[in-house]
Amino acid sequence: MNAVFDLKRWFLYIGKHWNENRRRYLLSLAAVGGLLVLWYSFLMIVNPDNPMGLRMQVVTFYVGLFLTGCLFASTIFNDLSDGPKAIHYLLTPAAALEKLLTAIVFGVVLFFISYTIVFYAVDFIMLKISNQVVSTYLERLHQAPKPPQKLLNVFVSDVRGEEFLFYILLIFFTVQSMFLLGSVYFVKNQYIKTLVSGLVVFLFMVFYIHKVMGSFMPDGSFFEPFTVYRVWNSNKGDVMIRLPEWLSSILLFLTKYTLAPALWVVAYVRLKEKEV
Amino acid sequence: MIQVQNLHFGYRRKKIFTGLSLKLEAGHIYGLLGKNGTGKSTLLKNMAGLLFPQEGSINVLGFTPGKRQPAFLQDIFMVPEEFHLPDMPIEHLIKYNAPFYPKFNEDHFNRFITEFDIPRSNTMQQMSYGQKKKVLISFGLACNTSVLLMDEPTNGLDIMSKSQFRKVIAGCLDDNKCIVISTHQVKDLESLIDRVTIIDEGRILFDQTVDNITRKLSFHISYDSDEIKQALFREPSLRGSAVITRNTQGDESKLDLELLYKAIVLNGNTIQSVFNA
Repeated sequence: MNAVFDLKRWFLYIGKHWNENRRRYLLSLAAVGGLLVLWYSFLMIVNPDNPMGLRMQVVTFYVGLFLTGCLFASTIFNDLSDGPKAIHYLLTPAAALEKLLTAIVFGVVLFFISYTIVFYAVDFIMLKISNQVVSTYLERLHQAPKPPQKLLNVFVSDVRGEEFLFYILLIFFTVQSMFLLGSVYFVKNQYIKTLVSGLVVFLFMVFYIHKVMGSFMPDGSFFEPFTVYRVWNSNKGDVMIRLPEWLSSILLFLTKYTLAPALWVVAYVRLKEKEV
Repeated sequence: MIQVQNLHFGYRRKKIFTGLSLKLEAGHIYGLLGKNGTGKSTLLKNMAGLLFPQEGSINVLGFTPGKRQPAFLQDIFMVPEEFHLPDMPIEHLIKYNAPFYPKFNEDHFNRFITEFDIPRSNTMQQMSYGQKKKVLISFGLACNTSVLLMDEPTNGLDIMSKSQFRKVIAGCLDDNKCIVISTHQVKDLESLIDRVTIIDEGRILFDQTVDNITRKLSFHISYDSDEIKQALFREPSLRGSAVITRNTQGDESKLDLELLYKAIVLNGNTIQSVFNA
């Protein structure tokens, strides 16, 4: 038997985890659906002219994803904050890696898929109602009918290209992983503590880059993150200092794809050293 | 089977163990006795890998408990004082938890559940605290793990259940198992344990087998004022005095665990001198 990871044991653990938590997970999804219905209903009341424009659907999807995804991730290791549940959790004969991967599967992967499905189910139904509301509203005002609003592809941006939403998603997974780490790191009030800690770290980084590192740099500013620094020079005009392509590519790759996994590794270490 | 060597452990404001050493063998039921807050639960948690020694080492079944390796966890079961059982019917509890324990025996589990008179159709939420505890004890015993740690297992059990508990535990012991029961309700374990370990202020105050205790000490009620005066320990009771004397005649007397416990805590040196002689 492998002490670090065993596929059969992991599947057993996933089955156990699902059986013990499915009611909570399904209720959470129902709550997310209910909140989306309430939000769209509110929009139909305050803005009957165009309640579910494409931009509004995108904003709703991503704001909802960030809020509920982070809240959900901060509860994924809730058992560890309750003595008897923590004992049950830690003494279940599965490896820490299997327990962490289960948390990632449910808290990150399945959450994202389920949220997207719930969003589209609600969006599809509410769009039908919304189009009806708009058409009734315009009819009452004796205005020309508008073409019905279409269902949106939330992964394709209409304004700034596909890259923009892709980056938003990467940021989401990183922030969500931070909340997942917070749920294993902190014993109580994980959501608030992670939020505050995240803000402190962010402010520290901003301070570090602008005040500490900035003091070593020539007079100027970062023009493009990781790649180009603009030096202000009154005689020669602005001078761009560009990092070698390979270096900026590595930095960009690391920032895009390794932040979330790095936070999972920290969560793994923290889980292994958890005492109760 | 379990070796604790020079264990140092403390919480932020309180030192619990400063150099505790202990060796527990298979084939015994150990009674870990002590006042509240003396470190019984802490010791069990260290053995289970829920807490890590600050100094010293613990070896259970050849494993370091703190690493919580699956091979270790599947051969040890702990019944904590405050426990959690997921809200599901008994069948689901077995279906989703038993596969983690290779030596789990469903027939044993069903027998224990029947002996404890647990309604099988109820989910955990519909059960009383005592019933849930009996389900957990039954599950733990049916896992047939080499090490079974029980922290105050009789808390919350009614009189009949305590008697069933003793019967069930006694029937489960074999040469390959080590059962450690921590309690401050000494009467509940009297006829069950075969080794008494008393902890006080983080150190082992007394550690002897029941056979050795009853061979060297005699527990009885005495009306003889001379005997009462010379007793190693005495406690007035409604009829005569409960006394502990040296067992010079080689008679077999029944162990009065509560009396022994009081004697060790209040007059430990006198009792120890009998065993050191």
